[in-house]
Amino acid sequence: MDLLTFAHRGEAKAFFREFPFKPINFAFEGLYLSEGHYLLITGEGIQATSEKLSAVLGAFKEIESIFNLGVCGALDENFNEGEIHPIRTCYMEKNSKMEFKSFSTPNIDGLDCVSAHQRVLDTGYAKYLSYFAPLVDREVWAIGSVCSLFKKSFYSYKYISDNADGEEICQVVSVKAEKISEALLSYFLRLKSPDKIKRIIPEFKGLHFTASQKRLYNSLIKKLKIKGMPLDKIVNLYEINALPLSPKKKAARVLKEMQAALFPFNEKIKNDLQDIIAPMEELGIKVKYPKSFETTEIEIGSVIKNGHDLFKLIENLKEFPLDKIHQVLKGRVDV
Amino acid sequence: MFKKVFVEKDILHLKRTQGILNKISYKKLEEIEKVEDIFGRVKKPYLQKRTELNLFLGKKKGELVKEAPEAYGTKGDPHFYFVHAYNCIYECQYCYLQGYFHSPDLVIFVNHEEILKEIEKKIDETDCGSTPWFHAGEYSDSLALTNITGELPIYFDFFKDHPTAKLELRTKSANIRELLKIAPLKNVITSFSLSPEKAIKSYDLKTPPLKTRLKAMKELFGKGHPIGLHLDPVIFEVDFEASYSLLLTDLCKSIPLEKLEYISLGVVRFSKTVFHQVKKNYPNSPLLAEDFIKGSDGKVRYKRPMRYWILNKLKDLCIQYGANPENIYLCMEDED
Repeated sequence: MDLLTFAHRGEAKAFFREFPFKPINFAFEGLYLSEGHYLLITGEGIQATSEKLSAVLGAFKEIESIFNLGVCGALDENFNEGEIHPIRTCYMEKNSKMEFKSFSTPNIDGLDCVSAHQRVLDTGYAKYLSYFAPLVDREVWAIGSVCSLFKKSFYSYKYISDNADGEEICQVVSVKAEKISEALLSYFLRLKSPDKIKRIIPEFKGLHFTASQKRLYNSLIKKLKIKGMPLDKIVNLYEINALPLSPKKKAARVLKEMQAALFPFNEKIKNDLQDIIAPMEELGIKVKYPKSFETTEIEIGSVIKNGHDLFKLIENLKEFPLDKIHQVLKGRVDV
Repeated sequence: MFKKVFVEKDILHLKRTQGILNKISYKKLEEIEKVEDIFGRVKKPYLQKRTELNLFLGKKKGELVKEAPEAYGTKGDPHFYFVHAYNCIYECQYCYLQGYFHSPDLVIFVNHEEILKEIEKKIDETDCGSTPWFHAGEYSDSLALTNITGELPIYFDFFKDHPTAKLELRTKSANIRELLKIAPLKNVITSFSLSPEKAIKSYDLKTPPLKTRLKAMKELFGKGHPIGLHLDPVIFEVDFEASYSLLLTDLCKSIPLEKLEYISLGVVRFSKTVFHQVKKNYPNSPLLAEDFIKGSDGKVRYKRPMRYWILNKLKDLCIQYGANPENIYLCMEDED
């Protein structure tokens, strides 16, 4: 579900005509719903926008993307009244200082916009803002900030209504509302729905992935995709499913095979270490090495019931292949 | 072409500043008080450098010459780097600059005389018998813009008078026009960072192709300029050994490996912040399909056995192709 936001009701006029929006009984006025879209009138300014958008996103979890539409002023003479531009990155000015944080939409070809806390009344102030962005508005940074908090994607499209010369925005909107709103609507209707990234969640019958295994699976499947390695060419799910293992162990097996295909060097190191350690394990000595391989420290464990066991352990440790283990951990292997 | 050029008022009148402005094209010039009033004040996405890049011209303030981190250069000598520019025209996917300044805009500092004063102080403080090294290009490419910035003769003049110190110009460019105009000095080394052609195409976006860089190396070497080599960062590929063999074969046609001043080897590595930026900026980069770990030092890199395997293989290859083992060092990694 998408949420459309406007600062002023006038900017949304055409949208109310186009879609059958009905008011929703909520904590405050200004929230509407039609098929497939919510619509929110935020009011002007950073504070009003932050408050209202936060409340709505907190209450309506089904909202996935936010589309902010409205007017802005141009700080650069190369942009003209009546143009609509997608916003790329938004910045914020407060008390004549720039806020460091910025927020970006997926529109990499858009223009940048600075949300000002006050109206742009003098040329010096406009010049300072123009160092950071060619457009100025009063809200979009708040939209970006709240969407970042709620991990929602956001888009913004701005109609240039003036040259940021101090004219009251409400006045501009009320006078030109019809024209602005129609232009924003036709622009919006032309927009293609942005591609949404579908989450990859393994759904194999007969396998059970724990939460951490799911995370690992998702990470590995992304890596396979980057490397152009199709899963069905790497893992034989039918074969694994036929194994007499628990669903959890089958899932672990799938992950192991994915890792082996992706990181053969790592697999080689593990196998070499296992080959070195195996004779020790047969003698009842457990050997642990760091999973990250970042240090050469190893842990040795053995059960000692009596003096004979202790003597045996001491004798066996004389043959302990420490050098060989260290060589492998230092990458001295044949690949 | 730059979108905007911001120039500090105090330096606008300087011949050096005007020289730079005359050599570049830009849409608008803005006079400002200080670079730091605008640059880095807001977090500007790194990839905006693709569509609009601003240039800042100013004076570098604060610490002008800094001590380099451990294992930065050849062992046993003190290493320093100096800062005369921020950011780079290239776009290497692993580059730490994408997480460093929070802005991709270029900054060029023009107060080279002040930087050289600081370098002189460091030389004076260095113990007799050891060679202080000064590296340019920690935050920018040392050669890429030298035809515009024009600082090379100033540094050559200085190092000519200070033969006990060494200057390293580190580059991925092939822009040797200015260097060729200058008489070579034994203590000024131009070092080229090379990767196999396939890796350059995949990761070192907008940098010159390998053969162009090799040609530049050959030309400089022919004119008597000392040359260094960085095989850094190495990114593992299945045909890693074959591709580096091919690179070294081609390199030998330009310069015999034993004639290189040094060869530095390093495996790709990131700080946590930079790796986060790589994920954000290049979500489909093959780098993100690698088996990296975050070490106790916070660095994201290959696991230790793999790092050492890569470095040992590469070191052996270089020796096989004629490099002097004494001249090979591992960058940012303990010798094994």
